[in-house]
Amino acid sequence: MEAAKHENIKLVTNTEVIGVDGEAGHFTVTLRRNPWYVDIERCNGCGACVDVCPIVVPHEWDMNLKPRKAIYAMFAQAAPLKYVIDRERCVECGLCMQACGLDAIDLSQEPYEERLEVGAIVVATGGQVFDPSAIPRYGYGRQENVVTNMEFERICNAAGPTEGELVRPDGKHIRSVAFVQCVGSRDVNHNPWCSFFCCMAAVKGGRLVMEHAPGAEVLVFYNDLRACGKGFEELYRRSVEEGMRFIRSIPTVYENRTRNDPIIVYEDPETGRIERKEVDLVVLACGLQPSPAGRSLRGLLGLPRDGYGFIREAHPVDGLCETPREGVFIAGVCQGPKDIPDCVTHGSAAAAKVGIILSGKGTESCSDA
Amino acid sequence: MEENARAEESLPEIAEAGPEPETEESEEELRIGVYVCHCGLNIAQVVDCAAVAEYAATLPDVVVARENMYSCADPGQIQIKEDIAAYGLNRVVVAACSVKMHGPTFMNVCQEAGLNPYLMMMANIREHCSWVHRDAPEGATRKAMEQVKMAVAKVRHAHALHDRYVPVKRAALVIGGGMAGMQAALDMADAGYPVFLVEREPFLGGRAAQLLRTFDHMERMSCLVSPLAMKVLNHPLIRVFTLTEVESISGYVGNFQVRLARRPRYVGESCDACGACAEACPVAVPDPFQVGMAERKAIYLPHPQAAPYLYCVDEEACTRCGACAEACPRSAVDLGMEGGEETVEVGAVVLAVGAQPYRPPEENPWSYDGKSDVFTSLEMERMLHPLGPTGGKPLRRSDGRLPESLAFIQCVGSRDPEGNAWCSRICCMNTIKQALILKALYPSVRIYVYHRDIRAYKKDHEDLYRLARDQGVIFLRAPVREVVPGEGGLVIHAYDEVMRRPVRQEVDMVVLATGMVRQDGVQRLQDMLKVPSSADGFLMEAHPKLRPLETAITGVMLAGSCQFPKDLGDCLLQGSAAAAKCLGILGKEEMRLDAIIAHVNPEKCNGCLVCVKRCPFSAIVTEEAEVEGKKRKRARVIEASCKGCGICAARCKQKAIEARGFSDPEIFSQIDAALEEDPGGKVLALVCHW
Repeated sequence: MEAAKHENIKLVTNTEVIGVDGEAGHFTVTLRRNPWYVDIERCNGCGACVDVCPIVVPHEWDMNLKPRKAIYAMFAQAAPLKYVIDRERCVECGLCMQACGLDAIDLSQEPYEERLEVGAIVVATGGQVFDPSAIPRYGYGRQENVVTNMEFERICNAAGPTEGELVRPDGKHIRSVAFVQCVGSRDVNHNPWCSFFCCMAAVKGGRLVMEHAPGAEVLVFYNDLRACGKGFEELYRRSVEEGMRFIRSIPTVYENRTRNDPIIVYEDPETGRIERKEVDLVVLACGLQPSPAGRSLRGLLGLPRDGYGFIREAHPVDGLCETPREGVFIAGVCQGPKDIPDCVTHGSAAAAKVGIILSGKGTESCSDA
Repeated sequence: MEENARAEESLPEIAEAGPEPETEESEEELRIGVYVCHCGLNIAQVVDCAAVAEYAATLPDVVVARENMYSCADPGQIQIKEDIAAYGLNRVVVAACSVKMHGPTFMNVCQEAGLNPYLMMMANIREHCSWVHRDAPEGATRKAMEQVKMAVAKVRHAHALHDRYVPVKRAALVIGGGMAGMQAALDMADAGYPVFLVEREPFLGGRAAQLLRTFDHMERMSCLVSPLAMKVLNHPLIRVFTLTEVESISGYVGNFQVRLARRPRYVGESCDACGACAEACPVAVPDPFQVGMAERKAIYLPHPQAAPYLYCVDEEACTRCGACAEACPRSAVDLGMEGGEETVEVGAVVLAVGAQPYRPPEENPWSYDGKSDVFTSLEMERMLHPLGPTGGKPLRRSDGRLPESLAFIQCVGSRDPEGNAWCSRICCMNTIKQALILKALYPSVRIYVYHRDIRAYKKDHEDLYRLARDQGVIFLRAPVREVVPGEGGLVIHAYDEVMRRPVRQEVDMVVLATGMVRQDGVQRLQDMLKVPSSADGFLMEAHPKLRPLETAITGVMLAGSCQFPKDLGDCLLQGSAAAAKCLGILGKEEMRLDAIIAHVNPEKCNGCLVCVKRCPFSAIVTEEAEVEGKKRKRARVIEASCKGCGICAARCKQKAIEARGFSDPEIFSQIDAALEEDPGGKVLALVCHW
């Protein structure tokens, strides 16, 4: 919202970068502006088109847990709040065109190219969440009530598919949850790195469950609980005191087919015995990994990758937001997994480096050359 | 008080925007619009928004009342603007979330529609209603109605206010010459702004200068510290003040006035660090740079890459014998040198005062006394350093031997609910780093790490952890109960959580992975700037997630470990990031300041000056005024320093102070509205602005 309103920021959404030429201070960036099939100057986000659209498809924003129409806005607080038509699903029935009082629907739009002249570039393409169906032991994809951490976020969200009701995909209210950490992370067979944010996300998620459903049982299966940010350890400890159970064990998830309940089988580290525990929901803490968008932009900009496929920083200590290409900076998860404060800091740091270039007074680059 | 008065004299003129408050509109007919936001389901699933809007329409002078899915989204905003034009609204009430969240959004909407933004009030029916009354939708709906009624009552008495603009001093102050502070200074200077960098020690580099390697990629610290210090020292736009502390700071964003007090170095710029002085000096004292494990002279250079590369006299240790001055071939030593004061003016301040390692108390369960073979991680780091007290060898204090076995104990002074509750973040990786260095130097040494969780938190860290295990470092998840002297070694008593049994192990050497705690002497700075600490003692950021770089005081930023323990990479990033935040201020000719401030009516003020004492922002000064031919003391608000907290207005017995935007008629009408019905059944709290 703040970014969209800022007089010095122009949001160019629904757009891909397809070419970058030039050098620090003088880049020419070629954009492909993909069609909205809606004149976004005219569209005021009223949503009349959505009501009449007959096509219903799963909504990727809600991790496919909720339907959307073929004409849709990503979410209700999206910036800009404009509607877009999914042409692959649209049957061109024209109902939206009749409904739109502003005559904003335009199915004839074509993608077009646009050039931007800029002095510096910040790549902040984020990451992608690990797909847990690659690890059969956790039952994801086979069991309805095993969800990823991202799906769980949507379940908890008031604007999500369950309108904030804590119900699992089959509709039952959640009274017990098992969080399984390090799914695909710290695993030499998948992603060897630690995704860092997932430990505290589980603590947060567990607290949400305990707040929504007092008396609910929350189990967290973990390797090392990495609560190492400001206030994190304190929150972790408070959660333990309030009854959240942290079990240092890697479980396997079976299913009670009659009740649709996941069954967690694990070694109890306190007794050494194998235990079974039936829960309402299993949340898999899927880690972050490099995204295809980051990969293609990396290729376009000629940036190197690190050993894992993230964009490699110019220096692991004093060049974390710089890249080997002068004038091109990186921020956030495209460089490696991070939590929100670390992303904000990374973004601001990249902004400082850009500020130096745009000021036209950068002495560093001259003297270092 | 006097200081403030003095500071005030040189403050720039504030652009006054017309007479305030305007009075003429009391004549005007009130036309109020009320907007009730669903906030998706945040509000609507508890509060009956349609009923609230219907109720609002019945309130006096309300000419339109509507509900919106999201008042903050474009359709909601457009609706308000259209209504302002169509209905000629001159007051707007938005019943939605906290004014902190979307106050600026709706103020902007009014502004764009030609309505003074201070004629908009918000009723917080989300945080203050729907979120806290989930289980009582009917009661919540009634409460939301009354909140709207209160806001409507208040907005009737609102006055148009005008934001103030102050010119910005386009220079910055960085307090702390460690890595974060130096990076912040360098980035701002590179962007073209003058920077004053203040360091209380004689040398730049801070804690990092003492360390051997980073754990990220095992970079050599000296290859990072020294080049940065050189860039800072040689930058034409950076003025470095070593041996200097901030004596006082007054002012506000865009216009801070800083008095610096500099202690003498007793060595002039002509010093070429030949070292003849130190050879001649007869006084030897424990060297803090070597964590007291070696001695240095009273005139010294802490290490061969010190920046600035000038010797310095340790004032406390020096006996003024003059041997150094005699020995100096360049006559650089001047024991009569005096310190000085200097005042600088800046628009923004970066606090980069660092943190310090936890020191175990005298009574401690690890038998640490600085004499036995129990070391802290900083002591180990110095021993591993080729220029350290042992020439790079980890030698036992008891017999000077290399250890055959060594144990690291994690979380010393961290993660302790009875003591330092926080996790110091960096100690796990620091231990892994030191273990890897030890393994590289002495492959046969047996290394054990007693830990509670290994917190390897960045993308490369897991690989280092794996590498340490591959190299034979043994990690035991075993909280340590105590370390006691054994026969020729140290005996560790712990409980192995994996094997589920107590363990007793004798090793030759123990290293305590000590955490980090707040820096000494920071309180004075915090008091001057009114920057609060968090519960853990580190400096508090404006928002833990979204504003980790700013403090509650506009124009004062945080960088490095003073905010929370950080590794070097994160310190440098935060230094750059804090610089970006400062650039946002320095890049402007003038700053906009909020119009919600206090105003003293000199006619009513009787000069009791309670307000001057009570103001937490030093924003009220005393003035002489002529009253009925006699000189009297009167209070006056420095508008630019005032944060609009209203404490003065509440304290003033003469009712001479008005908190604009929160005047008595506004507050009392709100109270009357709240208590009109069923006053006995309510608790009404008027708390903060937000």
